[in-house]
Amino acid sequence: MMLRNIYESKNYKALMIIPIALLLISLYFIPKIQSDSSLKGGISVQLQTNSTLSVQQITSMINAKVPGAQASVSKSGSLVGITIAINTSVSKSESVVQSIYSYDANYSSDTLNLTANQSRLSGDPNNSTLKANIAKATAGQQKAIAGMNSTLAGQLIMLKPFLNGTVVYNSTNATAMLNTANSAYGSALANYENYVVGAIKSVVPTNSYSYNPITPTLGAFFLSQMQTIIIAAFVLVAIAVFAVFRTPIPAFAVVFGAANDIIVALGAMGAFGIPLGVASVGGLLMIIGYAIDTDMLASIRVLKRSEGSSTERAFEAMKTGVTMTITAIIAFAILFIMAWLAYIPTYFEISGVVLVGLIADLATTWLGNVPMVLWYKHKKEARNR
Amino acid sequence: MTSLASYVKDRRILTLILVAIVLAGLDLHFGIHFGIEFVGGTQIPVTLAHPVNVTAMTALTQALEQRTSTFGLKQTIVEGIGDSHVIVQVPAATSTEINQTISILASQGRFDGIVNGRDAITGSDIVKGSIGTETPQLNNQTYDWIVTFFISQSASKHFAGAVLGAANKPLYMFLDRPQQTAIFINSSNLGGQGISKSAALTAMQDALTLGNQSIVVVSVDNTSQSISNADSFLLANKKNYKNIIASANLPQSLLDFMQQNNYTVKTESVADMTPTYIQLSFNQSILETWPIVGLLSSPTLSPAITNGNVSQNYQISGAAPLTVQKGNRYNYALNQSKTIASVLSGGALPVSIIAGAPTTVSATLGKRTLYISGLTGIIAIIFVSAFIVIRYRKPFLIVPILLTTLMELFIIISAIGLIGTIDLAAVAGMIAVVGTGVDAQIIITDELLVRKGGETSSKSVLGNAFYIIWMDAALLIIAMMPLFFSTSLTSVIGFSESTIIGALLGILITRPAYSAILSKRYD
Repeated sequence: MMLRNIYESKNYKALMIIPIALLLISLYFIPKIQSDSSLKGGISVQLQTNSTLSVQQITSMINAKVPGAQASVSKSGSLVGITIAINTSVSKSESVVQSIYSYDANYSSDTLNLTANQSRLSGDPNNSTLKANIAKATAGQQKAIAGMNSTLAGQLIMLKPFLNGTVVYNSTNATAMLNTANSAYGSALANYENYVVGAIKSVVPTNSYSYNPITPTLGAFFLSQMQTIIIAAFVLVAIAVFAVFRTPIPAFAVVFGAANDIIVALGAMGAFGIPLGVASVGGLLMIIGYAIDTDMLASIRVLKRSEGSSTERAFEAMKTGVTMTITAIIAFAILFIMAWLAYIPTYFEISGVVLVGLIADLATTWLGNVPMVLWYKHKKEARNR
Repeated sequence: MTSLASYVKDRRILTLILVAIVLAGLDLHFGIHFGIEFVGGTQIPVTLAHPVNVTAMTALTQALEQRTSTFGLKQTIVEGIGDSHVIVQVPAATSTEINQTISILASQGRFDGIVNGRDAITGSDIVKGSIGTETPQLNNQTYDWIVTFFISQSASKHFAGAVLGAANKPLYMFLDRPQQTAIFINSSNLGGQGISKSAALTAMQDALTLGNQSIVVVSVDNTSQSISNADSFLLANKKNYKNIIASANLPQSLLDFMQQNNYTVKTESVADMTPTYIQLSFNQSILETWPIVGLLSSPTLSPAITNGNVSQNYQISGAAPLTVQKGNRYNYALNQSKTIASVLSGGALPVSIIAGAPTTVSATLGKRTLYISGLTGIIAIIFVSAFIVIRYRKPFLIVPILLTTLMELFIIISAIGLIGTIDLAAVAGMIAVVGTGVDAQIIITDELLVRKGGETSSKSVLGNAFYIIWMDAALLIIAMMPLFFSTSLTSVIGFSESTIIGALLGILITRPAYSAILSKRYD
């Protein structure tokens, strides 16, 4: 089979319109990306079942049993994956316990001040500064205890549906309240899990399940970390690429290639509903890797080799590069299909991202990056002539 | 056709084979660790009461690891995430085991300070947050350390009474002193270090007396009389003691007898059954430390505090002994003050923790995931190799491609499974490595088979190919660095580990071997 060398056309520069158009379309779709429960918080449950209910039936039955569940269900053979929204009282409760701890820290430091000043006062009974310090520390203690008490009372009301009966506690003892807050939170978590799993089991009976709850705070933290990691990786790679080429235009072409691939991959995720999860970070970094692979191959062959014309070398590089990308597409398509068939979200998220990124890379590298490098090479050749 | 022997003689191919053999041996010996996604288990997210810095985070994860291992939880992994989260992973999946783990993580130890067989001070007497350590100060040849703390008003009166007249007596500091416990020690293990057997026994009893909660020490030698005495002690004291700490070198019949009588028996090695002593005079010694009963230090009471005066402010001080090497005295003093502070606080964690809702993976689902992962890997390799063979129309290529790809996978699985844990992300990374690995093989194949035309030496052609391959690998490793060093996205770090190891392996071992096979065949 003979392919025509697309770079021999006079208008090869016009090819660059295609990746740029892809880029613009992608920017529109990026805001539509759906985060999965690992980033926005939620509970995902996987289970094996004999149930023959359809996905729609399971979804509506769980929504009926667990108020506010917003269940999303997927099924592959005997495996069912269910994601539901985490109960806000339960997920907020963790930060409430944290604030009770901070009241306790205040209480402790006031107690320490009180003890230290009392101890000094016994040797110096008329010292008014010490007396004032004692009064201040006592007031601080009372304030901390009051704050703790009202926060704890609020938490117990919030968690009431998930607690076994009424909780009685000593509202003047900081340690007792701290322990109450901790154990109330712990038993609410356990009861909530039993409630959710029980509701799900009543819809789809199962003996083996996996339960994975993520609080929205942790999810948000993961999202911000993901962004930092991707940006850091991108910047490091860009610096390395500039160090290798030491000329701005080819280096820019390579960096542009990687950036474009990531943006188009993100856009495709938004357009095709591939969820973004913590695992996607691996896929996004891999896209940088693959983008650089082909971009470097093309740039090195066009700029640093001498056999044949630069246009011929570009076309030869394209043959090698397209083979490479297709191989990678085959590997990730198999992972993607298997993940989809067997419902393994981590694989699905990683392979989905890489797959769209690789397809984008075909356009970016051979229609965007290479014309850019060729254009630069032709100008340079013309100048040297 | 080149003979098989000439392939094996090539240095590059030989290296690959040797690395694989060594790793296979290590795999068989140590076993490969799989994550809970594959074997089932539980992950407990822990939130800290407040964000901490890196040092405190390290101290916390170490303390948690220590706790779980002290309580005999095996294969527990503790990982800090960012500045305010920790993840604890245990292989167990039943709710009892999970609850046990959570209570161990959050457990607070109990400090007891015992003077003259009386509980003079306990952990709850110490004002929270009042325990302070000072930087060790140089004094003559060595370093002095000081730990200061406050005790509550009510405790101060009790303490003053308990230590009245006990000048220069030891304050035995226990952390989690065992209850209802008897110690059965082989008399051959008693004494030593210049201390007679009877002095050793007296010193032990002095430290372990505490009213009706005394820990009794029974010395047993191998005579039948001694063993039958021990037997009758066991029969007579079923109500008083439930737990026994026993020398492992006691007669087996005696150890069996303890178990038959429903005692909970913990056997300890000779080293652990031997306390450290402080020699006060020629024939008098006291116990300094004995970790199996929680005795961690025995400072002596200064005469200034044993005269009945009530105080809320105390300090424990000491100096690094001159027997410690001069250069290590500062650190010795520092560690000593840290140990004392930790004992006083009941072994409290550096920051309070809040255990969250555990993630559980059932073992059945884990096995299924592992099976599907393996299947996916095999299918991917088959399809990728088939594509390459069709693309270059050379069936022989299937041999080196399969060989190098499988070797690469095997080496990555071994490397990660031996040092770390193979989790879902690591496996996804392995599939990615199949992709990049084959990419590099394509570049080599292209340069050797397709573009060789003009150039004569396969060496210079390979040089061209390897320039690009090295560059790609270096850039892939750079791209993965931020994730590899991330302290927060621990569930995905495996991906970067796989790809980085894969890239390194590729350029150093497998791709040279691949090119060696190819150039031998087609030269």
